[in-house]
Amino acid sequence: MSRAIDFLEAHQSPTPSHWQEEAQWRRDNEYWLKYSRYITIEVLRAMDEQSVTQAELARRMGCTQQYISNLLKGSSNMTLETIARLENSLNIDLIKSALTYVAGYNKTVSRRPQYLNDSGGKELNPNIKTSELVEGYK
Amino acid sequence: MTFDKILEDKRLRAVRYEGEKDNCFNAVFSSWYNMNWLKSFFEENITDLSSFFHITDVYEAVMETIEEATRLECLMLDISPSVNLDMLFKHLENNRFSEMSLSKEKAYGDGSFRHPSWLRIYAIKIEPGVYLVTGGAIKLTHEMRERSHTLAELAKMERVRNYLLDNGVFDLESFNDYIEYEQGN
Repeated sequence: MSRAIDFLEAHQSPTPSHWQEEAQWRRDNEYWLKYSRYITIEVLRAMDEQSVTQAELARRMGCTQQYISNLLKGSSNMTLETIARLENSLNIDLIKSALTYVAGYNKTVSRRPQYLNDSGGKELNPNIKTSELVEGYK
Repeated sequence: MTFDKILEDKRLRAVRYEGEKDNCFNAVFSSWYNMNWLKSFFEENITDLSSFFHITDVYEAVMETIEEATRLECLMLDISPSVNLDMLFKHLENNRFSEMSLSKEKAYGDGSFRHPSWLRIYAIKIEPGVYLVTGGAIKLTHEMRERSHTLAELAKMERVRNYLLDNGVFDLESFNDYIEYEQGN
């Protein structure tokens, strides 16, 4: 081994890096993390538009600000109850619009999130109306 | 500072700075996946984002960052022992073509169809194919010295490099090459 590598080896951190496990976790859970990110971005946007702080959202939801702070990182596996509380607290619709977006077709919405489109960039059947897609889940 | 092994075969390590519970490689990816942090970052740098990348919606920038970080992280995760890391890291200075000891290097994402990558991972090249990550950044300007957060990354690279030099982690021939290069600039 070279002197440089010897040196790095001799000055190793006392605890190992967790990057590999965390990266693998993110990859294994990407299938639901994308929904969490979608919800988070809609919440952040609503908070912005309504000038709602994290503290205020925590108050409205009846939870701690630390909980909100973690939620807004975008990788929480939120329960339906949490999502419903967010909807009520900000007076926004998350589930219905998420289903619409995931279906990958909504020409009337300009900020269409490509990140939720599982169709590989191709549009789904343009003859299907958004309302029909949503209705199917009711 | 201490050093964390990132890849099992020890070709990639990352610095764990004093007082930090995590190494800088993990910390960089944690930031790039933190939507609230990203939103604040892009709000603070909205002028650069719109001037250089023509993006005015911070939320669009947030999602593009996460998508790109995901691809870059998967690339790192899948690096096989047969792949030379020299393919991934490039000289920090675009106008430098010669090799030198403990040189400053960068790796970046593959970008999107709309614009080149703004994600950077910075490292010191320990020897061919062996790198020590010193940090990372979202670079929205042409030069690193133009903004405080990228300037800080430059300073970290310099600090780590000097730390290695102070501890004799270099060979004399390469060090002379470096001195010549610095004097030439």
